[in-house]
Amino acid sequence: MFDNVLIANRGEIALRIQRACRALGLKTIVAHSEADRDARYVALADQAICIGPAAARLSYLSPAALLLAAEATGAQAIHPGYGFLSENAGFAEQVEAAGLSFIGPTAASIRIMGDKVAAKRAMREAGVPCVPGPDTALPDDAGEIAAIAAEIGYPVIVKAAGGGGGRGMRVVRVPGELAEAIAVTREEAQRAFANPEIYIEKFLQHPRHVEIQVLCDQHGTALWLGDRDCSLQRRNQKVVEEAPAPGIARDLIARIGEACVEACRRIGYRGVGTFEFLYEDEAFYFIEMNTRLQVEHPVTEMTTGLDLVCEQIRVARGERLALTQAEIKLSGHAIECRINAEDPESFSASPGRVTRWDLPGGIGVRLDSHVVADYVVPPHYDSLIAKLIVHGATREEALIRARIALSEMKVEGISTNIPLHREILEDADFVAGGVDIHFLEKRLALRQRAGRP
Amino acid sequence: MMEIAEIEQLLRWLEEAGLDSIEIEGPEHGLRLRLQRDAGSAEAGEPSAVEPSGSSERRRDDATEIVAARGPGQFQDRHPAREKAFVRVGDSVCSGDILALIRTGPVYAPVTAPRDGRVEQILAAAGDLVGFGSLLFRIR
Repeated sequence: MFDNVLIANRGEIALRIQRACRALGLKTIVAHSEADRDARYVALADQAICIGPAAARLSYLSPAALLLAAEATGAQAIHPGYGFLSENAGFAEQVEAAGLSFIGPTAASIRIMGDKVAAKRAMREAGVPCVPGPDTALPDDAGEIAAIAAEIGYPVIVKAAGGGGGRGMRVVRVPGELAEAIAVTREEAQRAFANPEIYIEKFLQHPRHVEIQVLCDQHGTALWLGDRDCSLQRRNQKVVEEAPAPGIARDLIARIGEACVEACRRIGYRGVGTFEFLYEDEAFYFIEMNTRLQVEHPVTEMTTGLDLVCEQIRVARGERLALTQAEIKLSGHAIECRINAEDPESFSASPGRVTRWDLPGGIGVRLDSHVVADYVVPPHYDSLIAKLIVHGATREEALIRARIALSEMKVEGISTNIPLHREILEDADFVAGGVDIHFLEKRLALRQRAGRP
Repeated sequence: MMEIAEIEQLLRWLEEAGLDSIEIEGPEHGLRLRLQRDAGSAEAGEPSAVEPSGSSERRRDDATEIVAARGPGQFQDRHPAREKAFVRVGDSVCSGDILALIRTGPVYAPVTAPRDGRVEQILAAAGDLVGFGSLLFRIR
């Protein structure tokens, strides 16, 4: 049982975690780099400690720097947030070996889910539907590989077992392209992930990205907290997320949710986690599990009324979940827009001083951000500066609230993707609901071809 | 087109990533940057992997030099078994002399003088929690 938490992250999620800790009466220790010294959440923390220079490699990505900071400050638990070291099994292990609580799953769980082939096998055993294809690494023999691909049916996708997040994968449309794709992916897998294992799956043509949020305590209770549709992506980065996923039969989602919970019980999962699926032609296919809190967790908070970060910390403290599955009630619809400091046309990062920061408000509007007027967006990290989250009784109401909120929000000094969000929320296909994961990229390509300024 | 500020930013990133050069090719322009490292400059030196605490020379304005902490820990002005502080304001020190210790759990890392001179100011108090970059001494 711990009564303070070292927050090993930065930006909006550092503030989000800090708020949850304060709500639970826990002391907060913020570990920050030199570039984040002046951030507001650093000043708000009970204790703050600079762990290294701006470069993430020497600060937020350095287990040694974080463990030293934990030792120096007397931290009893470490919250890794998302990104950085949040899915690093070695770090989770080191934290626990130092006698601290890692606010996340066990290193063993992180390791299983980090190996995409092992994860797929574990999911299949739990009855979670997977993309057609074997849950073993490919053999070396070209003839055997060709036979496997033929059985799955083209197009297929070749993936690195150690990859993820859109990296280390290649689509093969005809048998003649298979051998080369195998060779290139294997080489890349060895180089980029130090794991030459590759596997092959059916390539879905027009899938949506739909995911299931889970929450598990350390006493055998595992719950699923509804679904999220995160199909609006650019270069595998989510841009807009919503809950629930529009137009999908609720009983089908409930069956998938139950299967996810079963998988959690089997691997002894603890904390929050997300099962990501592709959804096409009324079927779900597991792709990967994220063993951490996610950027888009607020849309689930809005529809369930639960504070996911508080729940995550409570279960890490060993508390029992006070809820049962029957008590999880989804209410209304929530949408999140990720506001990035980037050029809305070229998408290049736009760091610098925020000279104007006018925020929206009103019923059903929530804004999670670490930014204040005069804040300087550092150039060293990802460009997420705020999350606008809206909630309404219906999807229509949520869309209306999102449009009004975006019209009120005004940021100057840096460029943001707010204009892109305004466009998306007016788009007829998006408004109708249920667009696939290629929708945004296609739309952007069309816009480019139309030669817009 | 690329602004000078963007090129400067790229150079900073190169430096931080410990890289020597980068080549970027766009549809209309290409850019090749090569970083010339000055062996004598502390700024451009290859940043060593995180070492527990210790000291580093930081700012240099003419004759004064600031000594800053290189990692988190508790500032200790004396050896745990001694009564007397390592240095006091006005003391002369030689390069390499121990000025203080940074304690992290059971580990004590020395803070050493970057050069010969006189302790002009001590900027931390015994027992203070210091972090990376915390200013500790001014040597003149």
